[in-house]
Amino acid sequence: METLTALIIDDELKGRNLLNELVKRYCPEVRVLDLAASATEGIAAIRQHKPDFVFLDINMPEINGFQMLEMLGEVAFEIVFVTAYNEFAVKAYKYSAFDYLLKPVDPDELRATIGRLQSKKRSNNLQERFSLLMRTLEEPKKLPSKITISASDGIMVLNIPEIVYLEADGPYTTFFLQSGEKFVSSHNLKEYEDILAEQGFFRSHHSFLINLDHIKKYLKSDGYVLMSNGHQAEVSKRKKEEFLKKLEQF
Amino acid sequence: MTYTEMLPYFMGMMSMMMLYMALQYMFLRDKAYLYYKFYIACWILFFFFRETDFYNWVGDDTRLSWFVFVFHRIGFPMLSYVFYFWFGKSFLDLPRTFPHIWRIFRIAQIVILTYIGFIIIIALWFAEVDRTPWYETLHTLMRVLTAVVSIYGIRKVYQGGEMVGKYFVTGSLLLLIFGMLAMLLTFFGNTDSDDVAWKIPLFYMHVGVVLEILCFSLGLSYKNKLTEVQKFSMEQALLSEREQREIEQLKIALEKQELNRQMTNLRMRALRSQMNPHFLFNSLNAIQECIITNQTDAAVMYLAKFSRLVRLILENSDKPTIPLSKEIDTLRLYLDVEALRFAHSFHYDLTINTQLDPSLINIPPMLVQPYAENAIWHGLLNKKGERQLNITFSSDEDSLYVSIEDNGIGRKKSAEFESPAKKNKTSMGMKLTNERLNIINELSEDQALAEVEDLIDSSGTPMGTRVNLTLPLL
Repeated sequence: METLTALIIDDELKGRNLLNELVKRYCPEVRVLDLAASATEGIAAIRQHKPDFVFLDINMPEINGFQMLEMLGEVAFEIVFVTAYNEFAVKAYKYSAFDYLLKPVDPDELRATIGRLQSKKRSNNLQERFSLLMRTLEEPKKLPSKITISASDGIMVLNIPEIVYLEADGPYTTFFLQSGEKFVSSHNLKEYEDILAEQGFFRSHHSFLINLDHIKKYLKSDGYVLMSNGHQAEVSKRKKEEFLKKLEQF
Repeated sequence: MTYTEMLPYFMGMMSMMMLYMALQYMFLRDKAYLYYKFYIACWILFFFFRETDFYNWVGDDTRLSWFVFVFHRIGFPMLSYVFYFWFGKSFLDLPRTFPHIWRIFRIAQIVILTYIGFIIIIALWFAEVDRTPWYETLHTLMRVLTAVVSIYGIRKVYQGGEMVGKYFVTGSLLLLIFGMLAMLLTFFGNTDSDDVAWKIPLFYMHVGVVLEILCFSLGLSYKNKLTEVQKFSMEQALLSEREQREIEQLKIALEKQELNRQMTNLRMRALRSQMNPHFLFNSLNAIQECIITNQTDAAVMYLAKFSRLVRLILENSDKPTIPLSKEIDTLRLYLDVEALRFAHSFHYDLTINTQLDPSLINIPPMLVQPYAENAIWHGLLNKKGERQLNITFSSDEDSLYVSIEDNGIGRKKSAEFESPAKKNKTSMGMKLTNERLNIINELSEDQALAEVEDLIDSSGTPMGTRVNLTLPLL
């Protein structure tokens, strides 16, 4: 297993200790190079150690995590944001396919995150994702037009209107695009439902999240909906009523 | 038809009219009908005595006959004027619409009554009255006077231009014109009652009276209708006014409900501002750290304090006020938990400087904590070196004073660190607390107040921030 190098940046001593201990205990493949107690220390440590990724606490006095990233300029490492609570930030991470951990940390999630980092091609599309992240953060009320997914062969930035539907594939999600392309993301469908529901997507079935803009025909008798790319997406019985209501509003 | 033949018809008509007016008065209780009834009665009596041989009943040349004679010749016509004035008063509501006319009418009425009384006294006890030159002069004078007063009134009412007034004016004018005609005809001297009716002067008087009564009756009906309409529209107005009042009451109730809703909402949000998710999860994170680093005692203590704090906050959040002692307990627990989280990198002092028993003072819950949190996060954590937070409670008769003082970096420097994203979150607690203070002020007459003071040393260097909170004692 490939070893990953990491930095922990958190102003709270307990926060740093905790992550350090958790990583040691649950993710032996990760080597923590250094602990930094502020953004300033963090920048110095990043420049010195050039880690594969950084655990970055957002909520720090003086300079917070986002400000630190802006100060760094070029970001050549993956980031795992660590936050106690911030709805807006979490939404932004999802749009830009950044990993994040919520405090207190769930060891399972920590392991899953590290697993994703290992399979990811290094520092893919980082600048574009970072600017998407910052845009989403600065205008939390505005809907982003793009979404980033970490696919098996790299990170993709997709235009949301071009997504026809998403289909669950175990813990993964397959994106079907207008162009006929498809990509598999390493995040589950539920995560995408959280952010895409406000973008006109509807969870028609346990395994389907469909873009209402791409519906061609609803086949009542069979419980299917014909999408613009010719595919059929299932509509479960439980969701039928809600789905019809949505269609009427359309 | 001769005049004599016509007379019973005339009298009958008048009597019917009088009866009609009496009935109308009974039903409608409009004084105008009553006065008008008397007015017609005067005319009936005048003609009755004039056309019948009353000397047959009262005896010739007796005092009673003189009295009756004087009364029929002077009393009834003159009294008819008086009733005419009163009718005008009720019919046109003179005191309100034409107070000037009413004043003149009343003077004229006194003059007329005095005149009647004077003539009766003279006739009964002192001298022959009938056909004496002085009496004829006086009587003519009186007739002219009353005519002038009537014409004056008619003119004024006509100028007033109201519809009811027009009936009055027309009726009065008709009587006046036919009366004048009758008077003119008397100069030609045809008084043969058995001649054709239209050749007799008094016939025209009758015509005038009948036409006038017709006009006045029409006027009364019209006025009656008008009153009905007015009454109806007044009822409508009253109804809509009542509706308006009901709507207003509903509005007030709604506003109150809205205020209550806001209050509940704010209480929820107050709960949220103190149970700041950041604080909650970071505290739990710190406990997790204690566990994983095997600091079991610290973890147990931390968890116990944290639980007690959450319990207190939940208990307090649904009460409008709590004893100060409870608020102090909550505050102390909060500060302990924060101090643990920051590994005792700041110190705090809680001073209770009040003569009053803290368990007997009631204050709205969770008002002090947001200021303390603010002081820690913006004043102290950004500062290097010694960090101190002093919270002092003091009181006088009607207010509780809380001072929250930190030796942090000051508001100005703190603001420089604020990024837009950060501001959103951190100023939330402050915003909610200010809203709550506003609501408290709206609900009670006393003023809750929060003042922020920048502390500087003698050279002007910032030394921290102090918030002075004034709360009305409830």
